[in-house]
Amino acid sequence: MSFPEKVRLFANSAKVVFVSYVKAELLRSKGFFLGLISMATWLAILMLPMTLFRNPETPASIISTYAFVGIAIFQAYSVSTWDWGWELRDSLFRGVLENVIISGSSIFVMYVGIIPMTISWLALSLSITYLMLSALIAPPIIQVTNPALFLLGLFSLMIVLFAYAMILGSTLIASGTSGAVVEFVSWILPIATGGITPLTNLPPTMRLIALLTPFSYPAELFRYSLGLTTLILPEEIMTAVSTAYPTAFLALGYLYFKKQLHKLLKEGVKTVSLW
Amino acid sequence: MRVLQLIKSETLLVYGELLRRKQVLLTYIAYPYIMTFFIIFVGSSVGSLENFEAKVGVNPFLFFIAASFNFLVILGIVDDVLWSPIYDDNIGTLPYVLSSTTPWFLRLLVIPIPRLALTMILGFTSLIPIFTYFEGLEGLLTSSLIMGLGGLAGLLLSTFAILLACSISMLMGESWRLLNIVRPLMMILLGIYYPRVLMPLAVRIISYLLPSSHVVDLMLYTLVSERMPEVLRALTWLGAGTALAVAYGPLSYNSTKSLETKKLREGIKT
Repeated sequence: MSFPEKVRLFANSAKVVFVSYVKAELLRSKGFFLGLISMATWLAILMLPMTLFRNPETPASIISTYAFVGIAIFQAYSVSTWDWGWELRDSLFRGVLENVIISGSSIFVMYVGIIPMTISWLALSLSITYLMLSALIAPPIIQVTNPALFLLGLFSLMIVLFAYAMILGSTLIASGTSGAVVEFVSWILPIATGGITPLTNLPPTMRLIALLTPFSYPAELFRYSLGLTTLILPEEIMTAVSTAYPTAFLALGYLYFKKQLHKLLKEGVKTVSLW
Repeated sequence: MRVLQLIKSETLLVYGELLRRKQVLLTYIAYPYIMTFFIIFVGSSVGSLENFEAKVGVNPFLFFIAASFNFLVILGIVDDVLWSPIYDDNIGTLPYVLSSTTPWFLRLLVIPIPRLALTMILGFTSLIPIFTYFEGLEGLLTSSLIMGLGGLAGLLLSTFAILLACSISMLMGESWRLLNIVRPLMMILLGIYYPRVLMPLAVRIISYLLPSSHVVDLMLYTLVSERMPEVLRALTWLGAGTALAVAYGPLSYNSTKSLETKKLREGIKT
């Protein structure tokens, strides 16, 4: 098969995945919308107590903006964990993955099909978060002070999260790790890697740990470009590291993914339980 | 005798599963800490611990570990009641449940009882260490009281949970998604993480209708006042919670019967 034919086949398969998700989640059931309302309600549980920490002199909109950015990054991590990483385990459980493997098609077909859904989901959930924060605290003020760094932060965040999803997903299909552990990781990771709080607010040891991971750099650039924090490293170094580290992490994620897939094909599936 | 057998089998089922899947048990134990640190972390990045203490009147670590404990204990006790009709329907065991000689209502009512022991597990691993660290021997007593009240709050919610689960299954399609909206809403209304006293009046009125919200209020009072509640005050709150739980009894029984009749009339869709 020639390369253009391969590309066409890949694109067609991804389109089929996308259409099936749209039909299943948006048209056939009301799952998408009910899921968003559910998420907004869960978020309210966490957001309401945060208002109790507010300094009476600090404008409510500033508190709201910090909370919005923290939740936005947390949701991005969440998408990566559940829509991308967990999806592999879910498709294994539903018998979809074995069909993808047998068909000779790339597993990434599923990702390419899911990504537009994921982005729509993320955009909508952020809109709901914005509305919730506006109703509960005050409307967040989103002002991009440095568009170039904002885009770099966004792009490197996507790369890092995609690499993380590959590592998590391939571990999940090749080992018997339970969903409860994944849930645990999905909470700890954004906290420990400086995803939720500016690095300057972290205790020194945690800051160092966060800086050793590729996750902290995009999140910090993101906050800096929105004027919410100062950088703890010079801007040039942050820019260079935010480009190089996520790229290296992606390469590592891809190699690990290939290795785990090979292990799965050689040794078989470790667990058939979803959770 | 039948009830004891039911409790025994439910206990074996719950703890067999919990001990077999140690990762789940460990995660459950870790959760109060994760929730506490998550909220305190984000909260202190948008404000400060001192502001919290000035506004609520209690150390945020104590408040949030107690709140997270309550959250998990109440969910741990009643969550399987909420999911039971949907879960049995999905995995195909509902025909067996309905054709069994044991009334469905009784089976649902028994579900929370073995799970009460979770209160002890979670209390010993989360409340006692944190409270003892901050308050010494007095903290040990407070945490023991909170453990008892947490278990009671979960138990008192049982009849309401049956009513909710059966009504949702009865009235709506896509009921598991709807349940996923109602569950967090119920937890907000209980005033666990955000005290009821700070809620708008309309929301507070709905909150008064939930049996466990009164027990949660008593618990918050104990935390904030840093002493044992007066007998009359405690009895009023506990009485209100118990009365509501009993009042929901006939309603939840009727909702189970209605759902049963509906399933028998329409058949079980797989």
